[in-house]
Amino acid sequence: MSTEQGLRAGLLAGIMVRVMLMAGTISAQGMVAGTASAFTTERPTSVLIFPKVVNTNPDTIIQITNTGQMMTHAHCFYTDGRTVGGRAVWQVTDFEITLTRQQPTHWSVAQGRAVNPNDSLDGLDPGLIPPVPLGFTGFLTCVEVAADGTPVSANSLKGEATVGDITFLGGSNAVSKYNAIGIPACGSPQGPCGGTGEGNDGDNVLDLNNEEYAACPGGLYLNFIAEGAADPAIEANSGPGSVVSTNLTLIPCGMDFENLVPETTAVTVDPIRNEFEERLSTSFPVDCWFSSSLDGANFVPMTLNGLGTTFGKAILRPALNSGRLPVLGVANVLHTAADTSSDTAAMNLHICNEQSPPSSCVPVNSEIRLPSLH
Amino acid sequence: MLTNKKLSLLGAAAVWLALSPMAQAATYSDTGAAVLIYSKVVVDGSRDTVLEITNQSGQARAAHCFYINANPRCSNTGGVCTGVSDCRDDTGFFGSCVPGWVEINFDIFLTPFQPLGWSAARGLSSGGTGSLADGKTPCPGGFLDSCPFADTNAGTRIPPVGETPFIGELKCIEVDRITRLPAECQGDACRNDLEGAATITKVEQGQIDTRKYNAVGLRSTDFNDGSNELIIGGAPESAEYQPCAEVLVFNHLFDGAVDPISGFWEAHSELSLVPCTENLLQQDTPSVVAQFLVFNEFEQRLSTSITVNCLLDRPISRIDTSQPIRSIWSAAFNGTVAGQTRITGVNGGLVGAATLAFCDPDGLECDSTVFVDSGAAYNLNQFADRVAPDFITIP
Repeated sequence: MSTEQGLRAGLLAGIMVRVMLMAGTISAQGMVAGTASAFTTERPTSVLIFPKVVNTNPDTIIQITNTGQMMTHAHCFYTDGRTVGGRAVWQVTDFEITLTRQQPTHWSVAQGRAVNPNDSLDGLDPGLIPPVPLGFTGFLTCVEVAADGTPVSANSLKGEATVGDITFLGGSNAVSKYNAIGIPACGSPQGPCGGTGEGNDGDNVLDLNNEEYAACPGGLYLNFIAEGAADPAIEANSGPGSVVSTNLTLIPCGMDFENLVPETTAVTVDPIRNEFEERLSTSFPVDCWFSSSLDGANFVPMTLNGLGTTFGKAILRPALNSGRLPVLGVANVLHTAADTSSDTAAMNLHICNEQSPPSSCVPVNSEIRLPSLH
Repeated sequence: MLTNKKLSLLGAAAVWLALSPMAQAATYSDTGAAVLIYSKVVVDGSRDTVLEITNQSGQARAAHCFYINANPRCSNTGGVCTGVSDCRDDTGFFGSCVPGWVEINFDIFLTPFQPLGWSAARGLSSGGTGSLADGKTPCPGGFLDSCPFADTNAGTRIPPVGETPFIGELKCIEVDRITRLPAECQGDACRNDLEGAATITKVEQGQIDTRKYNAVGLRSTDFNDGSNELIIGGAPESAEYQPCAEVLVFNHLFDGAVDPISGFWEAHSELSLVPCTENLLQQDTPSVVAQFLVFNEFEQRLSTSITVNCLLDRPISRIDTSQPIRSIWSAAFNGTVAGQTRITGVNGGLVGAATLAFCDPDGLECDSTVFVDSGAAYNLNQFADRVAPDFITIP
């Protein structure tokens, strides 16, 4: 074998194996990692879910980035989660974006983003992104697809949402930011779903079953400050009278964009633990999109009076053996001082993987059904 | 001329590179873990940090925690400084402002499923009967304890941070409550029961700014030898914790970009990074070179590097220059609003968090030294595992 042949052969072997690995095969360390939850808020994936998108002044800035070295496409769906007469509107507006390798992009949901090289938004316009109507409250889902719209398992998208209630300089301005929830495609038995992982069948139904895409996590941990409790940091700086209030936004882990059927589920918040290890519980329904402060009738155990301590911990999951879908969500915490000045801070909820009691967070199979491909 | 031997090695290296893990990273900010890293803890005249730690387990758990004070100090006076101008002594001479690293450690004993929180400025002491409102542990033990029998926080005493101003890191490691070292374990006995978050709150001029991020967690593998050297990643047969990420992925708005919501505010971001490797026994100041690849919305790429000594906490447009308008993170320079920065630790892993702030373009400079009208913190994304191990060595 000549010198050049040896060099080429060695490099080629390396490149081939590396390409195989990037397609989904990873080492034993990766498999260990895969034993934790596959849904993630900190890794590139093939499906992004932004549970809280609003245009109610606050407006929301969406950021999506292609972390891969190849151009990629995403099919995105705004879902209007408002209710009329107690029924979910479930109005879906979809659009497509294209991102070159490593390209970040952004838009304000109130304004959308046109394809116009001469507008004030510099950078490669990712596609025609419609604005949402004033008053919109709902969520955004983006699915990584090929140029023809076929779902692909490239796991190269990441995203963030910034919810900004910005009035005027010196006014009451509140900005909070959270990471999109990502659903990784399984790719292969060595991929993020573990040994059950398979490739993508390319149809319009994304199976969240640990074969095509990761299965829904069995529950979420909510670590919270009791509703109405004082903020320790504000109290120390500006005296007593501060109040903390947590807004919880949840959506069912499953969507049907083809038949426009709003998914519904019921959440059991059990156990709720205070700092004395005392246990409480509650439950409530989630129709399409749920957003509420923890001051409603369903959340009495999570108020300061109900909980009895400043800090609490809760597990949100479907009732055991109910066959209902788990939820995905984000919390946005409002901190208010005695003089009514305030600010918000969002946080991603921790994912519960503990399948044994008392957590009993058993993964649930579900699906995201896209409009049929042509 | 390349010899056959060199070629073989080159080929082997290529195969090794190919076999190195690429697709997954194994630190977690969204699920339970055995080691929690709060990469930014701040206390000063207007800011405090509320730290939360929760035991996910139905068993009592112990954590051995370390506040790492990263305040830079004057070489002549020993005072806390932000620059040379703070280091003028009584004789009129200036010392230099050098990175500092002071560690104090303490224990936290958590009852089953217990959430616990405290103010970094005040700490948490034992002997109380209430919650954080009186700065006491809720389950002190003894007759006044209202918690279930034998479930107690006794032994927990969290000191306030050592000085004001303070900037640094908090690291908490799940340990055996007797030895204060990680429990020796195999298989499912290796636990990942801790989760945490930090909220940095600033109160000034009648306005409040709160920023919250989740602690970054290192999860156990299926083995721990119970020693004081925690092996993070590396060879599977010796790794006790899953590896740190090879690349941190930081999505941001470029500094000085006009806020897309209001159309008149400016966006400014700060980045906090700490090394995965830390020797808390020898008090060696860790040092890792962070390499930044910055992409704008035109897919144009720029890069820079900086050494992270203990803690890097800086507005992004001051990482590569002292003149933000000339920075590679400047919106005016990049020409786009949004960007992606990929951060690689060259000789060690890194973990971190970021903040975004919007502020008055006509006002003062918009960084942590002056009031920021409104901001938010968030966790970084990550890609791929580090192949080489990192180490945390504890007393």
